[in-house]
Amino acid sequence: MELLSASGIRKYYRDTLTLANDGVFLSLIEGETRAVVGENGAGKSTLARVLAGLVHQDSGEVRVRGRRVRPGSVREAEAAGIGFVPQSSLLAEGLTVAENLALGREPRSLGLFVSRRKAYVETAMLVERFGFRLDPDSLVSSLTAAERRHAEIARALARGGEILILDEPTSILSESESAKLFELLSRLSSAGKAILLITHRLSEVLKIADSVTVLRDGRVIAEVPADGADEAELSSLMARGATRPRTSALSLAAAAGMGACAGPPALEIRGLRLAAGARPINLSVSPGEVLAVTALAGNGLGRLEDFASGLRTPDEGEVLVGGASLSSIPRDRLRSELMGYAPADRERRGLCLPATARDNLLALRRREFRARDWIGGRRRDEAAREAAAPLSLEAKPRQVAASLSGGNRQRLLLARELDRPRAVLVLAEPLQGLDLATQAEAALLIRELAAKGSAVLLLVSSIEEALGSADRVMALYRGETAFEGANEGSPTAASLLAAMTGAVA
Amino acid sequence: MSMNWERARPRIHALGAALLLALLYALLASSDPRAALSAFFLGPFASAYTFCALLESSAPLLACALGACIAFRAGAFNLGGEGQASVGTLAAALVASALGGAAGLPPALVVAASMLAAAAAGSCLALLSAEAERRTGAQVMLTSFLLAQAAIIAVDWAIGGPLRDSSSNLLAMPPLSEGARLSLIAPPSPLSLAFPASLALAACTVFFTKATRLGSEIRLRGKNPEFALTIGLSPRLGDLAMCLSGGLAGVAGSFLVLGQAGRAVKGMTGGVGWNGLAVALIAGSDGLWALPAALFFAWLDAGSRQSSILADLSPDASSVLKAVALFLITAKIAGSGKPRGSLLGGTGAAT
Repeated sequence: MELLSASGIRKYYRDTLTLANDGVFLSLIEGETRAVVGENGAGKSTLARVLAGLVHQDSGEVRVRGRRVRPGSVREAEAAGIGFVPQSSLLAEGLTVAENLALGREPRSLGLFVSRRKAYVETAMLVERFGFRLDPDSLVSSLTAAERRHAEIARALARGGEILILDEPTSILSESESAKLFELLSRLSSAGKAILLITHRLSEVLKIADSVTVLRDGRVIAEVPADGADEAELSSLMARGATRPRTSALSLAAAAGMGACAGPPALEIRGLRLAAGARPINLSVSPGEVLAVTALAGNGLGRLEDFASGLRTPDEGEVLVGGASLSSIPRDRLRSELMGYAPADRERRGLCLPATARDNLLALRRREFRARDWIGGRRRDEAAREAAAPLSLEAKPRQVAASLSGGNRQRLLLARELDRPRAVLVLAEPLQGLDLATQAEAALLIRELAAKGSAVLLLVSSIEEALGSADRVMALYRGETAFEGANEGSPTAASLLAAMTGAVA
Repeated sequence: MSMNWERARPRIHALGAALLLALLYALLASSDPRAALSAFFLGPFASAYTFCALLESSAPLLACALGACIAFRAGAFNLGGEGQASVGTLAAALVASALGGAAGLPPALVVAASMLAAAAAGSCLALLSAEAERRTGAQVMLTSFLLAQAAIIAVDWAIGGPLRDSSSNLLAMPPLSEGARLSLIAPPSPLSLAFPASLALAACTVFFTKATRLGSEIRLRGKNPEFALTIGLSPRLGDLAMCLSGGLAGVAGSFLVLGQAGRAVKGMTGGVGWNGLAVALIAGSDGLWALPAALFFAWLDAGSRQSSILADLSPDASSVLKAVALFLITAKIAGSGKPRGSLLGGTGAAT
């Protein structure tokens, strides 16, 4: 039976002059998992938000079980059984999982008082029924990214969601976490839930989806069953300017690899303890070298990022840049001259969302401008346009960064940090949110900077990304070095994964 | 980021609505609404004297508002303007009376030193909050308010107690000598150099926030403190903003002492710090708009003074109208659903 149907969805954003959706149609039957794929800016997120009632479409209608849903009404969409799991978490940090699930529909005792016990029991039953990996009593602020995803999905179900819309659910998850999430989703779909998966990771799509809708420039380009669909064919359908050559980001980058230059390390970490009781780690990156450090979530990658970027000063051990202790280098000089840093937390740390694209792009080049430029801004506009060009960032200089799509935000961040060969580049999840073509461009750019003498520290949770683009690879397990070696065919994805999960000592 | 028309419109609507309300109030509350209204709206412009008085009273208000604008821009909620102005009055009076008595000092130097002392006093009070936040995480919003309340009590005690002029019936310090005061521009009206000084401060503030690197860094910090640290901005940027903000409030205090009054009087700040916050909110933390907003508030004050003298309206009318204007503006902006027009002048963050 058809659960959800959408037809003729059209949405034009006046601020950015983009036609995000242009006659998009879609249908979902009970138990179906449909993937919506497309490049950055193809209109996937807009479609999801229209279905969830978060965006009021200009025309077109959404029907659930044949009944029309009032456009732009989250409440009606929810009442009709549409549950939306957004790309970035929207949970209340200070509340427990159970309280978050009960939010807005709190169970009462005596019809009067909010009953925490009932909320707990309801959540526990839900967790039990679908096999979530969640403790109803734990505070949301203490959850990992993966657990937050689970909690978001559980919340959508708790609100009576029959149709789940997940916007890039795996974008910040490691591979094993993604696999677990997909197991959960397949349990849900066998329980009759319809699932709409918005993503640009084709490989995962083909594993889990029943059918695929391909969007390009706001239009439905193809609808195909996932069985027998070919990844290369789908990706060529997704590509704008359909004949653009598409080579895997990773192989392209490796082809350009120059190998490490000899010389004293540009970045050195000595005796740094990443977790209480863990053996301290040591690492060094020479100019021209790319070292990838990979780990599953919660194994110290985030801490390493904080220390390597100098945002936290270690109690034990030291971080040296060009032989000088990081804490002795003025922050301003460090960032404008010595270190490019792309944080994994793009929204909070990497970008200033309320500021313009221009201010974000030029945030490290503030000293280049005079009073005249700050007032008039034409020179800054030009500088921003130039800075945006290498990664084909589609943003007007004075456009607010918050109005950019996830992929464009990542381009914005990389365009700023990769604008020149700084001595050290600390890049955490640099390819997150990018479509394949842009991934290739970014990977190539990183390689070029290494060739010009930058020492690159890549912090990535994806094994593929680590193996695909680094000269040396290091894996962390529980804050300790579980593997370290040259990337010359010997560490395979499987052996690296074994190291990351503690399977080998 | 200057305030564009789209952001200015709700503010102008709200101010208009406040004036309409004044109209309604006069119609209902007065036995002679015509006289009351003309006194209210036109009274401040009826003579050069009343108009000059309006301008003079706008000067400390504008200085406080500029201070609030800078703090808000930096994301520091300095709610201590009233107290910072209060310590400013005391510091200005102490320095002016000490130096004013000394022979041979040029008046300009005495006045400048008094104003600097006031600025320093306000800055120090504000910096305490900034330091506390950086060291212990205590929120500036709370500590600035609490410190200000304590400072006001201390200043009032000093002025009404040990420093009081015993030859006068007022709870005030002795009057300052002529040379230690801001010169009057248009005697006998109270208009003094405080007003042009406040305009100069406004010009400096606008230049600082819009045309300097430091100003743009302060704005970035206000929009996202974590991002500011990531791109290498100093964690002390917040201290700087608080220092400037408190300094401007302190200068407002010196305007009160060195201008019209010519002495420090107990409780003389009279809400100028709080009104400064309101003016900054109306101006969207934009120094350029703080000037008309401060003049508007000063006009409401002058109008209600006039209508209470010349007609039978209560002098409290201005407080009510100011509150209504502020309420309408905040409600309009909050209710418009456009994050672009955020209250404190940010550009809004909607995803």
